[in-house]
Amino acid sequence: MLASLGAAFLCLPIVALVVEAPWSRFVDVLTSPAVRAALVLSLGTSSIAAAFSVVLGVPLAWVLARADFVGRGLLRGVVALPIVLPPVVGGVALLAALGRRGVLGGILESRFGVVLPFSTAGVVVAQTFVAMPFLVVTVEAALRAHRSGDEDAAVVLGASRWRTFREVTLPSTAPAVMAGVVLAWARALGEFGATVTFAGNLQGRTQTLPLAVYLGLESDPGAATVMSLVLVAVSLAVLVGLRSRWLPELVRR
Amino acid sequence: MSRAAPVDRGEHRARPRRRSVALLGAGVVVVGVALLGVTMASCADDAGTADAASDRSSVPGTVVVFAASSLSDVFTTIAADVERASPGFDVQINSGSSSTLAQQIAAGAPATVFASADRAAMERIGPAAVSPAVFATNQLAIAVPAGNPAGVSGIGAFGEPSVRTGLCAAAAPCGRYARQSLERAGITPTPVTEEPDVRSLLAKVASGDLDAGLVYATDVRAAAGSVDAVAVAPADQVQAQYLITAVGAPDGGPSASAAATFVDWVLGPGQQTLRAAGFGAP
Repeated sequence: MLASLGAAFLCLPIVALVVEAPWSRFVDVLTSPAVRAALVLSLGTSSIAAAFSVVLGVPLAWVLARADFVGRGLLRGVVALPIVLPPVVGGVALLAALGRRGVLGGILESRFGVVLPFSTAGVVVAQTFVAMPFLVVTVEAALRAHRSGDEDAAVVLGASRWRTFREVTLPSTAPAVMAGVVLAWARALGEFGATVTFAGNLQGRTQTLPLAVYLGLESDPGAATVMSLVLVAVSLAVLVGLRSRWLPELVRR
Repeated sequence: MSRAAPVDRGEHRARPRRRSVALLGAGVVVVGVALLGVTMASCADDAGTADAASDRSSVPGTVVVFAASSLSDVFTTIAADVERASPGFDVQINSGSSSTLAQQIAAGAPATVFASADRAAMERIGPAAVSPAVFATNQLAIAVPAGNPAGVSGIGAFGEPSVRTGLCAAAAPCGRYARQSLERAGITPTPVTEEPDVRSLLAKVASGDLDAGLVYATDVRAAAGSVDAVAVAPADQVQAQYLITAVGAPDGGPSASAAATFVDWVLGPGQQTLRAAGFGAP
């Protein structure tokens, strides 16, 4: 009975969203230029952020799981920090680092002419900052659980480190990497606080779907509800995908 | 041996399942208690104010003011003045974009006073606006980082893509006023960002991430030191009108008298404070 209360508490807002949505206007809102721009931008930036998360995150996870060095615990903590950090704090921190008067931002602008705040690249940077730790933590956990005996055997049998990584480690951690990618992608898609603080808001360039929802509440709540449902649908698809394909494999290991 | 194993595995599986169900139940109980606590607290508040109704001589008043973000500093000063003048008075201020606040009030937020930066936001709350009155006016100014690094000289900068300018979002009052002003000047704006409210726009100008932002003249005054002002030509200027009202049913309870006290103060002794902050007369 208590469990059903908890379930009701979690389900009710989503159900209410479906009930309150202006279904007669649904297609009109979805095809309006502002919503299309926000949707395309969000899907594009979160995919690029997920890609960056894999390229940088998998090696990082491997180092944290396999290598032994002074300060590893500290590095692990810092890497996991964006997971618990309030997103707007992440945005403020990114501005402090990469803003025009920031630690690195000044050099980026004067030496390379690169200005990240208020750009689409800035959106990707903010999303990668909040999403990559999810992938790192997921993959690191899988690597630590997975016995390194197979890898040791490969090395003893003469395989190079790169070949061992490619043909022994990667295939066995592939489910964890896939789960990490999906988590990171979903987190990047839903990011609001860091992107609005660091990249600002401009339709077509930096106005992601969550930001469009927030601003839409003031002028057109119906459209905001429609956009919210799109995000709910995407999130549900992510969860279903995770449960049916990769979670059982993760558990088995 | 193989017959014993399935039994063992069954027991092991059952124990974690019972444990996780217990944890789920515990979590739901915590959530339920928290929800009950919040509901009871708000019921207690209502009961408290109902008691106060029968004892007007002590008049402890709580006012929840939803104020436009450009009013945040001056209303904090006014709130302190009101609390000092009437012991037992408690003023809580929630500031943000007027259009966001109006939407929250329309959705049932517990505001007792609403001060908006334009008429459109005030009209958004419909009949809940008991008696809207203009209490101040404001003008626009161009905020630039201290030292004006981009050499912005006027509103024309907002039409130049090479200058990193910012505006308020179109849904916010300062965004509406800014676009009116730009229209008057015949400029098609090319901002790099449209911030949800004027104070976040001001913050990004102060940090140097923007070369210029179109904000209120009072905001530039409030941020003096980190921000410089470039004047908007009188021909392109717009006059912002600020309205204030008590929120709720006209005859509603004791909170109505506290709200009326606060509104009267803003329209009376508070005018001096507003003038000192740079707001114009209504």
